[in-house]
Amino acid sequence: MTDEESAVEVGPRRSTGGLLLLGAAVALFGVAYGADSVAAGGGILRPVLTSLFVQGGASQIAADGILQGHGAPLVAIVVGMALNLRFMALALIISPDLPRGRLRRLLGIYLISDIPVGLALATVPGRRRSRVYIVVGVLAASAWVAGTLIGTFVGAAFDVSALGADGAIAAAFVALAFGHISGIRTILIALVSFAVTIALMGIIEAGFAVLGGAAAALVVEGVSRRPAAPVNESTT
Amino acid sequence: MAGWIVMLALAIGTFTMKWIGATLLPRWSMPSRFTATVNALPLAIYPALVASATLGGDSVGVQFDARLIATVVVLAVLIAFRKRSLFGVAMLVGAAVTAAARLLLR
Repeated sequence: MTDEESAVEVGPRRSTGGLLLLGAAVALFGVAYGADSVAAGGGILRPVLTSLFVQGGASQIAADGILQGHGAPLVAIVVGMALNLRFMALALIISPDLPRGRLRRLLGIYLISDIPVGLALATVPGRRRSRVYIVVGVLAASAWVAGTLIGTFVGAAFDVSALGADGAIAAAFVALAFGHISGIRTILIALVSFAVTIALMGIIEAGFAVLGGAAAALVVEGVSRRPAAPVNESTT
Repeated sequence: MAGWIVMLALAIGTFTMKWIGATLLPRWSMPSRFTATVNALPLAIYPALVASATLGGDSVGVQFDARLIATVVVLAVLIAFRKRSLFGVAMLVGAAVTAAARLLLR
């Protein structure tokens, strides 16, 4: 079994409880974002609409951070777009499993983000994967916007960082990465991605560091990939 | 005003990138080597996001805090129970350990 095959055969059995936990964690992260945004003078409407239309937590937080630090709007846009550039790659991967029909497909495209794509990829390709993607995508998107809205109202009441929402998001990425680990080669690729990203974070914005780490990992993946066996092998 | 402009640009730009990835890129005929690379994208991207989410700060540089403890604990849990689906539990553990560590380290 190749690494690619083993990656898609890792199929976590999702339960209602698991989905509720996922929704709660995403909403918690949204609360933190909404609270921070209001505290920085962003009002109520803008962070909520940003969560609704961008659907990219890391890019929203990074862009807000740049604006709060009196950085140029263009820098905020470039950094935010760099952080969301990975969505293009995720879109390519999940494309075969998006709904048919123009409007439904546009909704499916709107829902593309790390967690729905990551969890969908952990299931076997086909109708089940499509269903998982849509269910998790709607849940995550709704929880993100709802959490943001709640955060804009209650954020001033207490320190939302005490809830550990950012730790939940880091944990989500750990779980998504772990689902694609299946042998020494994949461990090496993951370690390269992790290490190069950290090294780059010391000198460039996190969004670009993530892209650099992923690029380095893809180089290692390409170099270490076993050549495909010839089609017509004689057997005895 | 700047915030609204950034929001609009991010919204349009992000959706456009998703649309290109889902609609235009699949129409290009790709050699099998490229397909294998595309299949490896999650394995390349998610560990990088782990690094950013665990050690990222407000600007350039790394920041060591409670998130690092949570990430190590979550990884240990996933390795110990690797035969089971633990995505939701991992997020809960991540939040709980981060919150507890921040309380203890204050």
